[in-house]
Amino acid sequence: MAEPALFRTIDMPFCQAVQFEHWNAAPGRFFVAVRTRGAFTAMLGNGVVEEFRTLSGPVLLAPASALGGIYDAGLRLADARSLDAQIDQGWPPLTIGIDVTAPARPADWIALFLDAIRQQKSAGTPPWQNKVRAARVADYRLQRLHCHVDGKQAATIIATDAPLLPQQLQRLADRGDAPVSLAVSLGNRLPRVDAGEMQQLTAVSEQTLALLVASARRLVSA
Amino acid sequence: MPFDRRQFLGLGALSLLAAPTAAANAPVEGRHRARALGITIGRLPPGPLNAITDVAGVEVGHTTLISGHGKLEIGVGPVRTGVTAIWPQRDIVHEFLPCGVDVPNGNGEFSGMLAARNLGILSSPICLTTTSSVGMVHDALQKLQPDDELPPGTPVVGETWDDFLNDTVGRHVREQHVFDALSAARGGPVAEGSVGGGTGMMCYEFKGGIGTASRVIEQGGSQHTVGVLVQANHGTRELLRIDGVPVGTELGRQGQAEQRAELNSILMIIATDAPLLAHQLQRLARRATHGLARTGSISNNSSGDFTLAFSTANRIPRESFYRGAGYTLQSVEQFHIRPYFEAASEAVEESIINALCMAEDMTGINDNFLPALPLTETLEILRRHGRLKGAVDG
Repeated sequence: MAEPALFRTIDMPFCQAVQFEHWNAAPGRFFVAVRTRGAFTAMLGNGVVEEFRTLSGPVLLAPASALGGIYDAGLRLADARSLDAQIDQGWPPLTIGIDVTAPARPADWIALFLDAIRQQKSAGTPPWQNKVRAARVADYRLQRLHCHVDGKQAATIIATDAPLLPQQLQRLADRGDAPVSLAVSLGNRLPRVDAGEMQQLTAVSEQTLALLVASARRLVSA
Repeated sequence: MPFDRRQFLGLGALSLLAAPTAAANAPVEGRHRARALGITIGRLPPGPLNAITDVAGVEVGHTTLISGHGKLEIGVGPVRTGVTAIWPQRDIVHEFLPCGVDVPNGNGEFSGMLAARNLGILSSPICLTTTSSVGMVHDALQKLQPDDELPPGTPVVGETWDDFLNDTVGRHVREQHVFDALSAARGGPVAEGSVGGGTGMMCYEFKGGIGTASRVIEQGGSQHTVGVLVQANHGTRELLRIDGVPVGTELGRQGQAEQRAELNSILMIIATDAPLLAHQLQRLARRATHGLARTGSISNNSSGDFTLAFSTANRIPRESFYRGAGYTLQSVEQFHIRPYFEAASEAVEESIINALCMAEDMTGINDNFLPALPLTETLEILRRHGRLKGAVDG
C-alpha cells in the first residue's frame, strides 16, 4: 500500500507513532477532536486536547498497560527536539491505550523509540493491526487509520487536509465507532509559539462539511 | 544517586506542632498554618485536623526528594521534587468510589479524567508529582491493579511543573518513590509546604507546595466532612489575595524578579464522606474554582488546573461494578447540596493559603531562589485591613 499522504506511521513492537508532519518540524499545532465511547479510559494527554483543541506532535498508540511508559517516551521526544524549548512546545504526547497484551520491552526501548522516530523508520510491528483507507471530497482528501486487534475495533484516526475548525472536526470524530476516535485537520497550521495577537484561519462551508462527514462515515464503515 | 528523603514527618509536619503566634507587630518565627496565625477563611468550622484526612479512611503520604546544589546537571540535579500519594480508602482497587472532575484550565496532565467522566468512578490511589514523572508514576500505579479477567482500574496521577527549582528532565522520581509514598500514607496530620509532589512548586511566585484544609457540615441531624488537598504551583505575585486582602500587591516584588508563573498550575483533590454521586461530585469539583479564585487565580492560559472530587460514602465492589445484578447507592438529595459547595470552596481557599504559610524558602537549580511568603509582613497587611483574628489551633 502506498505511504499515506496525510499521516505516516512509525511502527515498533511496543507502540506506534502516527505523525502528521516531521517530528522535528518547527513547533506547530493542528486542530483535533476526540470522541470516546463506552468504558474507554486509557488515554493520556487528553486534558490539553480538550482545552485547546489542538495537537502538537505525533499521536502515540500503546498497549493500555504500557500507557505511562510510552507517554514518557513521548515527553523525551519533546526533550530531544530542543531542551531549550518550553515544555509546551512538544507537549503533551497524546497517547492512546489499545486493549492488547503488552509485549516485553527491551532494556533500551526508549533509545529504540527515539531512534525510530529520528530516522523515520519503523523498527518492528505493534501487537495490533491497521487498515488505511482514503477518499477524496471536492478538493480535499480524507484518510482513515483503523486500528484493530484481531478484528475488534481499538482506535480510529481520521485525517483531512480540509480546513476544519474544532467543532467541525468533532462531527467527523463522532462518526467513528471505535472506543476512541480522533479527527485531525491539517488545513490550518497554527504556530506553537506566540506569532502575534491575530491569526487567520480558514474553514469549510456546511455543504462541504456534510460531504466530508458522509465520506468519513463511509470510510469508517468500510 | 543518593537522595535525602524526608518522608511524612519532615520539617513541614513538625511546624504543625509549633505554638501559634499572632501578637501585634511581633516577628513570626518559623512556619505556621493560616489559622494558627489568626487567618480565618470563610465561616464553616474545620474538622479536628483541618485536613483532608478528617474524612475517615483517607490517608496521605509523601516522598520528598531533595539533593544537590548549584548548577543544573541533567540527570544529576539539583533535585527538588517528589510524589504525594492519597489513598481514598485502602481497598480502592477492589472497591471503587464515585468521583467527578472539573478542569478550570486544561494545560496539564491528570489521568483518570476519562474514568471519572465515562464511568463515574475512582479505582486507584491518587498521586501528585512533577510533570516529567507522570508516565512513570502512572505505570507504577498500574501495578497495583488486580490481574484477573475484569478490566483493570485507571491510574490517577496529576502533575505540576517544578522546573524553576528542580532538574525536571532528569526524572528523579522512581517507581520505588511512588510505593514509598503509598506505604508512608497515614491518617492524621498532613505535612504541608515543600513536601512530596509539592517539594519544588511555586505559588504566586512564593514557595508553594502541598496544602490541606477541611470543613464540617451539619444538617438534618447528620454531620459530614469535606476535606481538600492541593498541590499549589500557580499564580502571579500581584494577584495573590488572602481572605480578600490584596496581599500580593501590597507586598510587592521585594526585589524578586518576575518568574514564568503564568505557566504554572494547581491540582485540587476534594474528599467527602457525604454520599454524593458522580454527577454531584462533578458539581462539587466545579466549586473548587471559586476557592481558587478567591486567592486571586484567574487560571492562566498555560495553567493545568484540575480538580477531582470523590466520596467515601458509597463503596462499589469491583465485581458488582462490572457484572452481576447491579448495586445500590445512597445519595444526598440535590436540594441539600449547597453547604457542600460552600465547604469545598472554603477548604480549597484555605488549603492554598496553608501551602503558602507552611512552605519555607528554597534554593534549587542554578541557585534559583524562591522565597517563602513573608509571614510577619503578611500579618501586618491583614491586620491593617482588619482581617486578622485570634490565632486558633489547626
